[in-house]
Amino acid sequence: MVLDQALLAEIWPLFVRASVTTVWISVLSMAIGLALGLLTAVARLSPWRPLRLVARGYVELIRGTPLLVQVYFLYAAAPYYHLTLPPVVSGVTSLSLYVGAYTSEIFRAGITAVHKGQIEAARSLGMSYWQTLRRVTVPIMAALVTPALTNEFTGVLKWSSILSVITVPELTYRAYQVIAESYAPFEALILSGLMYWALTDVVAWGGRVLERRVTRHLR
Amino acid sequence: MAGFADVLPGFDPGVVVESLPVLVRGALVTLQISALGILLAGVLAVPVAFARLSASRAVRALAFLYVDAVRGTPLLIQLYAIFYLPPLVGIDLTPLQSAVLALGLNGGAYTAEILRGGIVALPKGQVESARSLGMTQWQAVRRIVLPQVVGNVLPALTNEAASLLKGSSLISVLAIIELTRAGHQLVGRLLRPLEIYFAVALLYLLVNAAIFWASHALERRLVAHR
Repeated sequence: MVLDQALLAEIWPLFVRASVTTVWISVLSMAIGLALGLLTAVARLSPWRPLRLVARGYVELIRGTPLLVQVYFLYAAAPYYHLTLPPVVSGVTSLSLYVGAYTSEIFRAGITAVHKGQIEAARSLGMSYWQTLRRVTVPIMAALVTPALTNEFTGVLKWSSILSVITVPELTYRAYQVIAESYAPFEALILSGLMYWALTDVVAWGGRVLERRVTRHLR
Repeated sequence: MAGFADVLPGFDPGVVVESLPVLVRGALVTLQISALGILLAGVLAVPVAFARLSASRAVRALAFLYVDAVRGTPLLIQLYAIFYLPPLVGIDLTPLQSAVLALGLNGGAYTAEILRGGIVALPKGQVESARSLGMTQWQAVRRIVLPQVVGNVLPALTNEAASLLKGSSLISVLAIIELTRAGHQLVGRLLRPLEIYFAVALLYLLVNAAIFWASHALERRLVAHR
């Protein structure tokens, strides 16, 4: 197996554009997923039982089924509700719902890990509710959830490859196109594989930098 | 079934019943491939985990490269690679072999990292006492290290097994008729995505629950020696 340099030069710009799509889809899905995850985590700790049940049902359903099935389902079922979603919108929605369920578990662990005593101590020192939240609760939580959320973000970059099945023109979709049209699997997979590897390593590195910042108070 | 009609207009439970035989057959293929993939992952993970902790720098680097490459790329790309690349060098694998190999190689890297964490966390005294009782290194690993490590990291291993089961849905792209592809084909034929994906999801949830149930049963057995 020898890499065809001419072909690589030809597909390189296409793959760079596709990886930009992969990145923005991942960033957007991660952002929506984080908001959804935080809301779901709070809902799961709510004193109102129906809300807890709905939140739990959502998390269990998403975590118990493959993302591919969820992607297919939303894409195929939406027209039945007179919603014709473009592939990108449908894909980002599926990916966000997926991320939301997983991050809600991370947030839940983070929230329950903050001891009541720490909050009470801060209040009894004269901090207001907001001061306690900003100086005690959030820093403790951030230190706990940052590594898991970084891991989740590298996951999103990889999971976004599944959106290729509904023709979202991201990196894996372009790689498959080159395989199918030029029958050049070696070049297509090496190039796209290295791009994913670089992207996930950059995110993992950024996560470690962030982790050092949010754990400053522990050192 | 008025409940369904309220939430999902036009939902016909009859379609679910009608498609179940085909889907259950697909689920059995999913189960078989996932089980083989999990087995291969487990077999691969033990030597890789120890290789990551090896005294030899070259061995450590090689193991790290494998783990990092697998964890840095999507399973779908790995599946394509195992499906399309071996024929280029004259190796012909059946789709089933490719699928098991890809899932095993993928799961092996993640499982190795879980085991490595467990091995590092195990107090050194455990191995030292085993060695001073006259056990060989291999005996100590097999009788003292692995049983404790597996017991300690069982929740993480269970999550990995569940994630491999869900990952197996991706082999539908290799033209293997497992659960996801069976569902996808039925949707194309019956044009009833709501009911069919509902049934597909139900079957995945069932198998997923079975994995966690088996893990709990195993946990009770593993902690019996304590």
